[in-house]
Amino acid sequence: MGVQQGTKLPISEHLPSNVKWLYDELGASSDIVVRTFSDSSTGLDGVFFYIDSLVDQQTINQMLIGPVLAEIGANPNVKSASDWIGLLKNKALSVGRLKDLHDLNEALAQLMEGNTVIMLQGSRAAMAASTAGGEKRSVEEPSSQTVIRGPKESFTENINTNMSLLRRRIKSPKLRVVYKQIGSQTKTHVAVVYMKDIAKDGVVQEVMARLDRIDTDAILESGYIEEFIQDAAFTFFPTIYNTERPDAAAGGILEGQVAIIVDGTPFVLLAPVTFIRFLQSSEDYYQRYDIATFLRLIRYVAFFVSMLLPSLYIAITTFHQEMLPTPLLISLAAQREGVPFPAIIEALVMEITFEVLREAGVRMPRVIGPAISIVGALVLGQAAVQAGLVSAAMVIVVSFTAIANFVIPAINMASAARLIRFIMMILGATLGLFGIMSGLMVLLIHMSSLRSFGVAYTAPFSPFIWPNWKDVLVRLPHWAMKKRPIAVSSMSNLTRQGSGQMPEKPKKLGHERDETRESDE
Amino acid sequence: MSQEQIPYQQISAFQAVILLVHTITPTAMLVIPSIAIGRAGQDAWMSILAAWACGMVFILMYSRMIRDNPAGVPFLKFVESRLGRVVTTIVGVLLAHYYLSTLSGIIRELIEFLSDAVLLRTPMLVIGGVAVGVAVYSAIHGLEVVARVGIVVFGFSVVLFFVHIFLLVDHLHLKYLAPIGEASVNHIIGGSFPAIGWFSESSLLLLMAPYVSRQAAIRTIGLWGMSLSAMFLLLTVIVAILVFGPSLPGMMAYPTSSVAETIDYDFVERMDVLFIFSWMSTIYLKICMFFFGTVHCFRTVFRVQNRKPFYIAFGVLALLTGLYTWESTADLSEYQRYAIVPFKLSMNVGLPFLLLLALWITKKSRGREVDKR
Amino acid sequence: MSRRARALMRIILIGLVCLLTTGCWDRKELNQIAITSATAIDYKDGQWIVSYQVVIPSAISAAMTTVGGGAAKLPVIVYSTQGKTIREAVWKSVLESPRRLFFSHTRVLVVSAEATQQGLTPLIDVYLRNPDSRETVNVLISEGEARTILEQLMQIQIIPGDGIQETMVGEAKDLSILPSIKMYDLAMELLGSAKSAVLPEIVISGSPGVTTAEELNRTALSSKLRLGRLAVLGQDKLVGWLSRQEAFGVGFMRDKVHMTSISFACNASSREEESAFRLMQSKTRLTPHKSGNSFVMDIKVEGEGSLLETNCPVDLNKPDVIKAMEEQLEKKIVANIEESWLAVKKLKTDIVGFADRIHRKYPKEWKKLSENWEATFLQIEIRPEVDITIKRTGLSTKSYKLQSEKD
Repeated sequence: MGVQQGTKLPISEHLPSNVKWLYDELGASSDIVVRTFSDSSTGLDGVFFYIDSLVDQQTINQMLIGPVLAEIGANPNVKSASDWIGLLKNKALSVGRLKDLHDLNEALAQLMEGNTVIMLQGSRAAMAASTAGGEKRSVEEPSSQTVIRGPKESFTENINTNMSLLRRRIKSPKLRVVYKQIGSQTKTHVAVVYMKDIAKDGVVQEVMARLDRIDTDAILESGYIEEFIQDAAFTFFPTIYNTERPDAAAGGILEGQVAIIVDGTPFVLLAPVTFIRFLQSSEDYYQRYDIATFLRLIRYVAFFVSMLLPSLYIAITTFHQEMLPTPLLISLAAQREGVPFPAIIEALVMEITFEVLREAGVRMPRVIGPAISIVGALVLGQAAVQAGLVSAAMVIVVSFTAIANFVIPAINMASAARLIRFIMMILGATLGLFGIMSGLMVLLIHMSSLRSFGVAYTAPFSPFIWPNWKDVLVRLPHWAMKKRPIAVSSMSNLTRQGSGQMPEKPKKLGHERDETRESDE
Repeated sequence: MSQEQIPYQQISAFQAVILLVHTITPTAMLVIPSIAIGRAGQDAWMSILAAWACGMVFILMYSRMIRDNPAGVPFLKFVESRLGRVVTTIVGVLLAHYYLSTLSGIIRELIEFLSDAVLLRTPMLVIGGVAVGVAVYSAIHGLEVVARVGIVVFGFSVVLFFVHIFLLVDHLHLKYLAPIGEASVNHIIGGSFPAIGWFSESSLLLLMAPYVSRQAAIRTIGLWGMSLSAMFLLLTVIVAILVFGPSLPGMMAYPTSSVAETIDYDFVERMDVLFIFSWMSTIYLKICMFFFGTVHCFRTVFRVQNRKPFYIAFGVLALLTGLYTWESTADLSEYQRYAIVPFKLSMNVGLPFLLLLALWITKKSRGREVDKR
Repeated sequence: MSRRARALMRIILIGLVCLLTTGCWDRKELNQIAITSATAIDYKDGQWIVSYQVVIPSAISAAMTTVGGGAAKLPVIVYSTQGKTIREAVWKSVLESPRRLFFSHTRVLVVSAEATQQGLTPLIDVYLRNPDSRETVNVLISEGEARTILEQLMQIQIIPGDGIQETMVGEAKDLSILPSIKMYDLAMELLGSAKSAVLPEIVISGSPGVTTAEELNRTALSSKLRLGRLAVLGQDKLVGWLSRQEAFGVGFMRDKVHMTSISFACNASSREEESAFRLMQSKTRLTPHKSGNSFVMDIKVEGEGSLLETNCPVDLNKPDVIKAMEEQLEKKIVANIEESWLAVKKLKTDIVGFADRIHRKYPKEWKKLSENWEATFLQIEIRPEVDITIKRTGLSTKSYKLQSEKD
């Protein structure tokens, strides 16, 4: 629940002292509203305490203040404060969530949530009504992981909206939600969502334990949580998946992953995850399996291209020219005549230029952004070639690498490839293919040693789990994927669909059936 | 991490087979064809078959020894529990020395090959340093990670191996295998000696076995690993004979890579660099495995606790030993042709055989003790 | 920062600095290498003379982009160096070349007859020992100075070295008169049972040589590179030459004929060869048999192909007409083989692979025979047998001559 503010401070019967305490704790902020109400005939003296900027004013006016004021004149017989509380609860306060409070610290926390605290003179108990409001963004198209075919809804910053998006997709009662509050100052709501018999129990417990261990001031985005709970601190590779799409999150939950929704950001975390998950897109499952397989293979190629192409180019053209076919070699040699820098410097300069252009494209206002980045890349590259500063082949290599980088669906994995690319370039420039190979070995060892919440990162390549291969390089048709992936789902509950569902032609052709019917007439 | 149990490291049977293949094949494929064909001519494949048979016998011996070793207990600990501290220390020191020498030999072999074929000017220290660095990094992560890497490397290099043979189809002339049986039996056995020595390196199975999840399958793992290695070596030797005839490979230093040079299909030529590097990844694995073997012996015998500093220091030691023990290629070549085989055989076969006897005797006497009670 | 992190940083820094300051030892930038497309070896006065045909990349890419492929600038330059050993000569090139010679793309090696008389063993050793010279170069021999071959320019293929190799490989596949010999083929044959080898000859036919860009800019060149005869080597030294006819027969005996064209006469009585046949596949089987002290070699040739041209007045629908033609072909090939056999015997060198066959079939006798193989070789009798099948006759069923004679 975050950091507590010390021992319990019970609500006293003296209303003004409660109010004064709360007022002082909040530093007499200007957006506090203290709305008193009293009934001299019955001795009722109460107060609505809320923070203006956090509440939904309409709810308070219509559901709380209105009905309560209406009840005041109508009940002359109620004398004691506890009776009044019962009356208000049962007749007046028309809100769904109503919590009993006995402690001032708790009341403070409720206030900070945007709930209204209702206190009565003479009562040791108070109530908190859920009235949280405020402006929120409507459900729009996702900005990052777009698809051509598939739902176009995306998560928003509000955790309730996100939960509703998930609940509407998974209507099973086995869907479990556990709320937490993390961050001592921000007290951000975090929801842990999983399917009861599908997710591994150990994983769920581990996620809860790690979330509970977080001790920090602020959780502003799911990225903060990711960095606190991920398995390995010093690695390029992400071990927790994030998505803006409810269907992707739902798909992951149904395979046994645990989703962590963080209030204030549309990006939802999913764990445990393996390396191949980052190269899959939700569109793979909506399009047909043949094109999906083809595109998946292209993505794998693109990943390796974006990581290795510049370094391979440098290594082959400076160390192993014998590997090139002769016409290509002569063409490249002709291009390099007059270029002042060695290949590695050329490559680094071009790569960094491209990264600068890419980053600038992100920051620029929407209107000019795309134009400038395209124009910048083309014109700059062309001009550099004509000025004799770089060779044309290098421009091609660098641009193709950058474009291949965009093919990777998950941006965090694409960033890993971007960073590793530079290390590979330096290795390739000093030791040729031997350096690149050594770098790849180190990378492979590193990846094989990573675990994501207990699941080996390189599964199902190694350890070799043959059934999981249905969804790695190819995407088998839906009727063929009978079982859930073993690495992630709980072993006791693997079958998810019936067998023998491959579509077949009907036994009799349509018109034959009609003919027999006609002959009956 | 305590010395007694093995911390959560488990490798599957399939991974164990692949690791075993990688312990034997990489340098074997490089070094043996030249020696075997040089001695036995076109009948070198018979030498390899003979060595295979010997290798199977070795495996049977090793699996017999390891059968009583309970899962999770390192091999030397098991020996200690049966034969006492003194014997174990002697055995451990001998084994550690053997593994260290072999490790430095492998590193030197890799450096020699790269310096001859690809990176002509790069100082040996740099090549060796990079290789040892990768080995140390892998050892720090443990055997399980190495096993996982092994699967990926194996898949990749096997595919490339068969692609490379497929591309050579035009150049394979079956007539070079004839006349069969021309070499005398002496020559065939002479050609098989290095192969036998190399196959005996499968004694690493003894150190690897406690980590395998299915203990009952150890013998199958060993037999499969040995057979796969022998098959790869056999294919390499046969291809070398079929492409270059019986006389030429004997004078070549690395017939395997020269064979890859002859591939010539339109624009697919001079791909030998690619094949060299794919196969080099398997050598990295071998270095990792031997590194693992060496530090395992050292740590068990001398009870070293700190892993990381020890591994790094050890890597430096192995590198320097590799660089400075042999002054020139000729020294290394002589060592490989003559000295290495008796050394390997005595350590991999002689010593385990003695241990097997000792274990058998102590088992009997233990059995008698139990009966007495 | 903790001590550990600081120590780690220091180590990484030192490593990086080492890597960057000492430079990358094996790095050769593309504009630091001189790509050699052909090499020539001459021998004079005890010195090996090595010539290199070096490609000029900028001239070539400019030529490739201009329409027509005419070389406005010269695509190659040729220069030579000499030394007591071949590699000494190669390294002397550093004295005059701004870029290091790069041999990995060399396609062709031309040796002069004089160098071959000296013995090719040092050359083969160089090629097998050095990683940068590839064993897959085509080896050709030239009767005169080998360097002039390198200086000759070609049309269509801008780089003459590539052009020579393409011509050689194409000829070995489509005409099969001269075999394409790569360096490792040469090395293997000289180590084989007979210790002999063959090399195709390359000549410049016509004169003067085409060595400048202006001379190249003509529709008809004054001289051209052409493949010539077959050179025979015994024990790595030049022993003699075989004409093209004789080389053809040798090709049959060695089983190196892939596709070729043969002209033959209409029938046994006529002397004019008026028909042409394209052999598409051929296979030769050599089988030795013992006969007294020496051997008899059965040479069985089987081939099939299609008829390309005929001026004999024949109707090709009739099977016996085809049979007659086949018989003519077979007779011609047998005559060719026998003629080649005589020529080979004159040179006293076993280049037809008889030694290998006998070695394989009679390994025990081979041990004795190998000591004086030449004597046994000269006493071998050959029994050639040819079986040709004309599978196709093209798009006409009767010859045009027959048709025109009808009316």
